[in-house]
Amino acid sequence: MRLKTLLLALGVLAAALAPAACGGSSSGGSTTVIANGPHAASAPDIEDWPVFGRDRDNTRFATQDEINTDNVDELGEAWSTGLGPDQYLMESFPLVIGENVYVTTSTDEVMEINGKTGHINWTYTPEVDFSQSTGVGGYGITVNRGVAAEDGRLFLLTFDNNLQAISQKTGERLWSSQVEDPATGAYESMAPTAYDGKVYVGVSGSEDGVRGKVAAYDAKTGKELWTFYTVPKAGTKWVPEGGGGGTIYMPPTVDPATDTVYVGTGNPAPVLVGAKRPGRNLYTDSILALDAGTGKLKWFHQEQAHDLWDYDAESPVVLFDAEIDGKMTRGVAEAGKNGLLFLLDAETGEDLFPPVGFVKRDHKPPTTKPTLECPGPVGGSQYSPLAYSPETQAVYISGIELCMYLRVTYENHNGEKQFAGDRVVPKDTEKSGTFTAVGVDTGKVIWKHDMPTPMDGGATASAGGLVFTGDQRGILYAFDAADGDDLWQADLKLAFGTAPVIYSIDGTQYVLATVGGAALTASEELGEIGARVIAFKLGGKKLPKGPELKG
Amino acid sequence: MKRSGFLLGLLALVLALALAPAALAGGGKEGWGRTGSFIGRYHVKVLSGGGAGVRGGELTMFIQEEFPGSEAPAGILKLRTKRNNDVVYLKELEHRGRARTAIVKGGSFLGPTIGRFIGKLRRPGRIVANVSTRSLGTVELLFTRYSRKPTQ
Repeated sequence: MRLKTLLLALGVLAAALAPAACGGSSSGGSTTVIANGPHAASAPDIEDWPVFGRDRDNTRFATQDEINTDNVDELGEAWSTGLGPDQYLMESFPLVIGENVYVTTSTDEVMEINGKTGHINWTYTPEVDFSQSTGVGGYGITVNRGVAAEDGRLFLLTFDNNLQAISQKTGERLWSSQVEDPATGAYESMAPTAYDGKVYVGVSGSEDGVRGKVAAYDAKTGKELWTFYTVPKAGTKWVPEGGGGGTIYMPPTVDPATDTVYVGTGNPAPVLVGAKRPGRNLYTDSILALDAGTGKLKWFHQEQAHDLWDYDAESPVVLFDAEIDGKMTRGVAEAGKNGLLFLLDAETGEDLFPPVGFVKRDHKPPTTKPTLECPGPVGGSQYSPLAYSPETQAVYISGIELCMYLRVTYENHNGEKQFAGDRVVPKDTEKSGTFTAVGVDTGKVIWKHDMPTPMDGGATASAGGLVFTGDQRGILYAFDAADGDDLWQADLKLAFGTAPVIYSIDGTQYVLATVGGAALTASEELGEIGARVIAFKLGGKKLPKGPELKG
Repeated sequence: MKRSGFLLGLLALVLALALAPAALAGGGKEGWGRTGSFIGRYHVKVLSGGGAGVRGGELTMFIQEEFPGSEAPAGILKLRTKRNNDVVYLKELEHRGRARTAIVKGGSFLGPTIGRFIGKLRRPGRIVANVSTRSLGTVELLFTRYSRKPTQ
């Protein structure tokens, strides 16, 4: 074990001795303790990947270092499993508890897969009404970004707005609660968050004028405990009739030390016609800090006031502890669709540093004539989760370099009823991306790669000094987390829409990629789509490399 | 009447009789075109489940429109097997007489073409079709419309 890892592990051990005080959560079927708080470091030393971002701080930092900068070139395929007939697109972020991987499909199935062999133990197939996908831009793209787990239960949000609890052991349904009426245009794509007997959810669909909300449900019964609406009711205050917005696309992050739920919100609606919704349009495109017990607002930080471009604060929030100006500070990081990374004080929501740009930014208010706007139709960083390494004190950002011609039409469309315009990626545009490391203690770019495709899906870091991410051609990269050196690649032949997870079973470390492409992959025809889960380990079957990165 | 005129008249009569049932049944009226008459939700009855053992499903037909002028008819077909929700997308809808055809896309309307929909209109709101995809094989399905609104 390297020195930094050892020090980190000692810190974590100290925190793990007082799990109850930290509100630690024990996941059913495993001995995992998910510690939190400024004194617990940001990455508990565990073998599993039991929550969305591995730990409560949502860091996507694995403490294992068996696979590291010295031996990563020995990484190869351990097993590969397809996820069923006609399965295309994969935006699911798996959990790993004990020996098992829990992954969802784009059609809301949940599968338990043996993490050593790739064998599917069981599949849960819910009854889902997919007809509402006529309303998702008229493109019918359904995705599911994963489950949450607590006390032997898995929690799933189905496309037609049902929160369901299923048995982690057998895959049988325990209860189901409707969180929103699909007739409103609302749909679900996010993974929920489970913590301390509550399941936290949001709803999606700002472009259809859906009213955003965050809600908590009782994990045992499915009963609604509280709801916080992110925007006023349609026809009141700044929201016009038929308008709304502020919807949620990714799982909330819970800080047990302060009993705070952090979540990002989407754009206001109507999307392009700002004259119909005066003012800042609170709390759209914002990071919200809510009381986990009551849903009461603690603070908000709006990333894009009076949004005219669909620049959501969509990606999940990461918590970190960093020494800033000689003072240990609890911080919040989030990469917005407006192409800016926000580093905020977790207690107050104030900027720790000026926002950091990671893609080209050049936009102006849209008009009835087409104007070129950057970032483009899916933003500078879409739902992609950041990774945070406490070793490098850096967050790693997946960036999308796409611009769009935007035009206000004032018309309601079959798909996005409240978009009121059209957006088109110029045909001759180069579709590329960025992958950027930014110091959370400095607010400065440490290193940056121009990537050959838009980057969608996020990143994963490890104590082995590595950061993993995948592109739209299907190339999985391992970079040196400290300096960005391109150390290893594998061509998986299927586009990425998620970031890998890392786990260990019987002392063997695995890197697990869920591949098959994202809604972005399909809509921009960027790469091959499908649905596979592929595990890697040292000494596994070698896969071909991708083309060399420029620069 | 000359002999050739008689033959032409006879031919016209035969053609008219041959086409009459289709016209009476509305086969020509309910095309998969821009008229929108086919729009709505359909129950799916499985006549032959194919290799994957399709057990049921639902079809939603609607006019897809990303931006003004881009309207195109489309369908979302959910098929239920023992283990999976199989959701595929119908594009490039065509009709000729009673015949109704489409290509089947996987993942989204912009996904890869993975199969064909070849059907026949029995009467308005009722179609029998063979749906073939890479994974399901060929299944024979009866579609019966029960709602004219795609989302209700």
